[in-house]
Formats: sequence, structure tokens, C-alpha cells
Amino acid sequence: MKPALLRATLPSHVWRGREHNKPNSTGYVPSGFLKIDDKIHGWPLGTLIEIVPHQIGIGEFSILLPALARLSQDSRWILLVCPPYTPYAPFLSNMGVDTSKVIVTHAETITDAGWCMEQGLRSHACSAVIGWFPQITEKIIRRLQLTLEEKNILGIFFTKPSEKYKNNPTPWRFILKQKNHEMLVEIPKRRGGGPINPISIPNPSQQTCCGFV
Amino acid sequence: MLWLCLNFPDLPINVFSIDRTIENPIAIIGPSNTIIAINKECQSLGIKNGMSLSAAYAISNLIEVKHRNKHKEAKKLEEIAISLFQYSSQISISLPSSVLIEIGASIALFRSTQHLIDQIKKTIIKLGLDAQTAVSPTPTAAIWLALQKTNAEVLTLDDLPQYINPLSISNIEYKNISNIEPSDVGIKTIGQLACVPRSAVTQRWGSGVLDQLDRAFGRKPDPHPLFILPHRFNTEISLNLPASSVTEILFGINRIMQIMANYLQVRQRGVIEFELSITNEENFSHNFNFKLSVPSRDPKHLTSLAQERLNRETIPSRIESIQLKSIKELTLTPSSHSLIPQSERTALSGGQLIDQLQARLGEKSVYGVTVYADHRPEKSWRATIPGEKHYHAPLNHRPSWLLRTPKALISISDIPQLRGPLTILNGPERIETGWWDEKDIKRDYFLALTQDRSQIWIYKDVKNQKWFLHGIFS
Repeated sequence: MKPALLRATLPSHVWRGREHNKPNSTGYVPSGFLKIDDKIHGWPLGTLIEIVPHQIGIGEFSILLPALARLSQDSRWILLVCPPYTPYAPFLSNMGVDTSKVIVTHAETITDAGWCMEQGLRSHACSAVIGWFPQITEKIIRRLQLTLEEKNILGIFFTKPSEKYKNNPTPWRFILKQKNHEMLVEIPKRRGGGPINPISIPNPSQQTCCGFV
Repeated sequence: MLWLCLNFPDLPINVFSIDRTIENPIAIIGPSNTIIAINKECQSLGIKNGMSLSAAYAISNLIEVKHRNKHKEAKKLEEIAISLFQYSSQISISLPSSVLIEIGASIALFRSTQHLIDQIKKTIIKLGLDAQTAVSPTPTAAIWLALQKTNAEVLTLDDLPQYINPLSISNIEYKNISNIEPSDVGIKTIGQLACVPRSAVTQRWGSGVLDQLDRAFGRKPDPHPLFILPHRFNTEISLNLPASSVTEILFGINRIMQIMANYLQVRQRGVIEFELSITNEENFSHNFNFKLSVPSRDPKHLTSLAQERLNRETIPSRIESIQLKSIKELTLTPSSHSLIPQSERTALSGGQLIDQLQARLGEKSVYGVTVYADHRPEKSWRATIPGEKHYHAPLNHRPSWLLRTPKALISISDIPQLRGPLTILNGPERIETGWWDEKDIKRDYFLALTQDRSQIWIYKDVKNQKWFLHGIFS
């Protein structure tokens, strides 16, 4: 069969290797970091992102804030599910995030936390849904990914670094590492794209709002 | 004026069953233990209306027998009336089993009489009921026609006699003054009664009879008390079978929410606070109070809130009835459809999202955060209702996470330790304030780095020279 004919007969959901450079259909939100935006356009919307910080307190939440500041201008909510501590409002505000758009929820079980994220993604009322999961199951990831698919929402969950989760089905994975005074962003897995070199950016928690909004 | 009468012959049985799919034979008995209403399952066993209870038991001992509950029947008629308000504002309940609705004024809106009647019938079927209908220019005639199952549709007063005359006189109330029944003198139909000289009728059966005839034929005004919507919604429904789990009562909750939605629709309101009570066999009831962040009358949303909440709570076993009361209602005008989707609709569903999360996780587990004008770090933010906002002046560099209670750090020769000695990157920032509420603080804050390069926010309490961890730069 000729390649062109083969392409035409394949069902649309079969992934075509050649199209790996096709941009994300639901778009991106600029990350606020030039180096990241240059390489991957920003944070992809409508697809689940896993962020694995190698350690707590290296700016893993701050890296999202320029994007959240932008999204908080929208009329929709920013839902934070089970953050490890209370998000500190003066900080969010300093970073340009409109705190009146932020909802914080705490759930006791991982099922409830997953449910929470799913409701947020399903409702069309959120511009970003961010969850913190010390442990997460493949089932929850699949559910979240299915709910999020093709929606104009930034969906992110944080996990701990672990061998066990290396094979989980999230389409995007970011690993954050501290290196001297900079942060190293590794992207071992991304949808429709090959491996790229780690990106190093200035430590995001050192920034102030004037820097990038 | 054109009146549609809906008569519900199965009402005594309908009030005891909400779900038509699972049914056991039920028979309703009247005062002298005679059967006055039965359901289909009973009918197929061969039991008939008018049988004595013992005769019915002789046929089958599996039938479930219930005493007639007129109070519930009246409540049910009110429910029906509420859901009919979408068609007309003039509705009257005619006990024991009929609802009258003035449709003349609504015909233009619904294009034709037939279309309007069809719509009303569809609504009735949605409520899970069967009705005998009749249309007539006078309400009394409409009731008679419906009670005698004629399905007549009389549109003008001139046509009325030909439909009423053949009716039996069973629905006319009379006094037996001279000890002669109308049937004793050969009067069986209304037409025959109308032929009798008026003075003779009054003499034998009282003036009330003529009054009823005159009203029915449109010779006299025929007022019926109009049904007025109750100020608050309060309805109870019984379940067919005692239920012990949330899934089993969900059907009932869905039904009752639908009724409330109809009520709210008519009043152009949304509920913002309501109470759901579930009562078990021993008459022990559990109340659940719901507070919403935005008024709603969406039955699906309200049902899912109730479901999430009940899943979280322990509910009694063998639940027999569900009661729903609205406590606070607010005006809610229907949202107009817009060519440009989004904004208004998302604001509404945004509130619904919060309600849904709170229903499952509890009110305190879902909150917003806001900046508050205070220099003390632990007081310069507050948990609020999501969406609330305070304005403020920007502060200095602050961490992204704040510990609700500062964690004491050990220090070795005044160098604070957390997983090894800490390196101070920046500081001190002296915060000394709060003398007015006796929680005054005097602290020096520093930005510090741990050995494994996490950035943290620590302070030294100037009063006792101790070190504390207060925030993390995540």
C-alpha cells in the first residue's frame, strides 16, 4: 500500500510518527520563562502534565505562577487540590495571581483528591486544576487524562520522584532539579515530540511579579 | 374561559408508589374495609374495586394493604398543580381527586387547544400519573365530564348540553327532603333532571341542585377557589419499599428535587439553603442541611449534591420517606441564551463546582485565600469563601507555602539547623507589630537555604532568641 493511501485509511486516533512536531491542538499557556517557551511553546493545555520535583522547596510551585497569573485574568477558577501546605496569599498576590480566583481543597483520601480534580476538569469552570499526589494510581491518571482531553484547561499534578511511576501514562512529564542557583527542567516525556535537552532557568521563587507578567 | 379538568382515579394508589418499575400488588382500603383502589399487579390477580378486604385476601394473601391517606392525596394534587403553573396561572384543586386548569388564556401561546392539552398530558405522564381529561367552558361541567371518563372536549357553551345531558347524576349532591331518590322517579341522567320543573326540584332535593346545574350550564357564575403557591417548598414522598442505602433512595431524591425545581421555576427562584430529611420505619428522622453558594433550581445539580453529602454520612436503615424543605430562596431569573458562550454560564457553574466539592469534602475543606492588611505573616492571609477579595498594598518577598503553625528549629551556637546547618541568604526583615490585640510579635525574618538547596523562610523570635521555620519557597 502506498504511504499516502495508508495514511488516509488509518483511523484518526492512530498516532502518526511523522506528525510529532504538530503543535498541541488546544494550545499552550506561556510559561513566562523564555527558554521554556522557545522550546515547547509553554505549558500545554488540555493534556495532563506530571511534574516531579526532586525535592520540596526548589521553586516547583513558583515555576507555574507566571502561567497562573495569566490564567487568573480569566473568569474561571484556579483549583488547587491537596497542596502540601497553605498557599500563602501575599506571595500569590505578589506574583500577580488574582487570589479571588483561587480555590483550595483538602481531601483525606487519594480517591477523594482524584475525584476533586476530575470535578474541576469536568465542570468547565476552571482554567487550571493542580493537584499534589504523594501517590497516584494509574487508574486516576487515566481518568484525569480522559476528562481533560481537548479541553482548554491547564491540568497538572505533582508527584514524588519514584521508580514506580516512571511508566505511568501521563502524556507530559517534567522533572525539576536544583543546580547551583538555577533550576534544571528535564522533559523526559512529551506528546508528539522527541527528547530535548534539559532547560535551565533562573530559580523561579527568586522572581517578583514585575519580572514577567 | 376554557377549563381543563384532570381527574386522577388512581390517586389513592399513586401516593404510595413513586417508582412504577418495581411494584408489588397494593390495595387501598376505605373506611369500611372495602377496597377502593388497586394497582395493575393487583388487578391481574383478579381483585376488583369494591371488594371487601376478606374477599381480596381469599384470592391472594400476598397483597400489601394500606389505609387511604387523604392528606397525602391532597399534597399530591398540590404537587400536580405546581407543575401545571407553567401553562396557566389559574389553577384550582377540586378534592378529592381533580385539578382544574384554565387554558383559554394560554391557547394563543401554545398555538392550538390540542397542542396545549397534549403538552399538559405529557407533563402529567412525566410525573408518573394517569389522568382522565375533559375540557369545558364551565369548571363544574369539566369536573363531571372528567369524573365520568368521557374525554370530552367541549369548546363552546352551546355545545355543552349535548355532552352533559347524557351524564349520570352520580356527581350531583342533593338533599333528600321528601324521601324520594331521583332514581325512584326515573331520573338517571342530568338531561332528565334538567327537564323537571325548577320548583319541583327545589321541593324534593333542595335548591343546591339547581345551583349546581346552573353553574354547569353556564347560566350562573361558577367560581372555584384558586390554588395559591405556598411560600416555602415543603414536600414529603414515600418510598415503595424500605430502603437502606443511598443508591436505593436516589430515585426518590431525584423525584422530589424535580418537584422542587418545578416549584422554583414557577416562582422564578433558586434555592440557596434547603433541608433534606429521611425518615425510617421507626419514625426516626435524620436531617441534612444544605447551603449553596449560588441559588440553583437545577434538579440534576441538587440531586448530585445530596448524593455526595449522603455518601459521606451514615444514614438510617429501612428508610420509608423523604422530606424536602426549602429554607432560603432567592430570585433567579432564567439565563438567556447567548450567541457568545462562556462568561455568565461559567460563573454559575463555578458556584456549582464549589457546592459539589463542599458536599463531598465538607465545607471547611474547600476555601479561597485572600491577602489581608496585616504585617504579621500568619495574619496577612485569610481563608475565605472562594471568590472573595480584599485589596492591599504589595508586600516584600514572601514564600509560596506558609506553615499554619511555625515549626521550632534547633540551633547550634545560634545557627539554625534543618537537615544540617542553614545558610542565610537574605535578611533580616524585622516584623514588629500587633500590640493592639495582645498577639504582638517581634521577629527577624530570613531567607535561608538548606544543605540540599531548598529555600525556606525562617525567623528568630527576638523575645526568646529561638529559631522557627515559617515558610517554604516552593
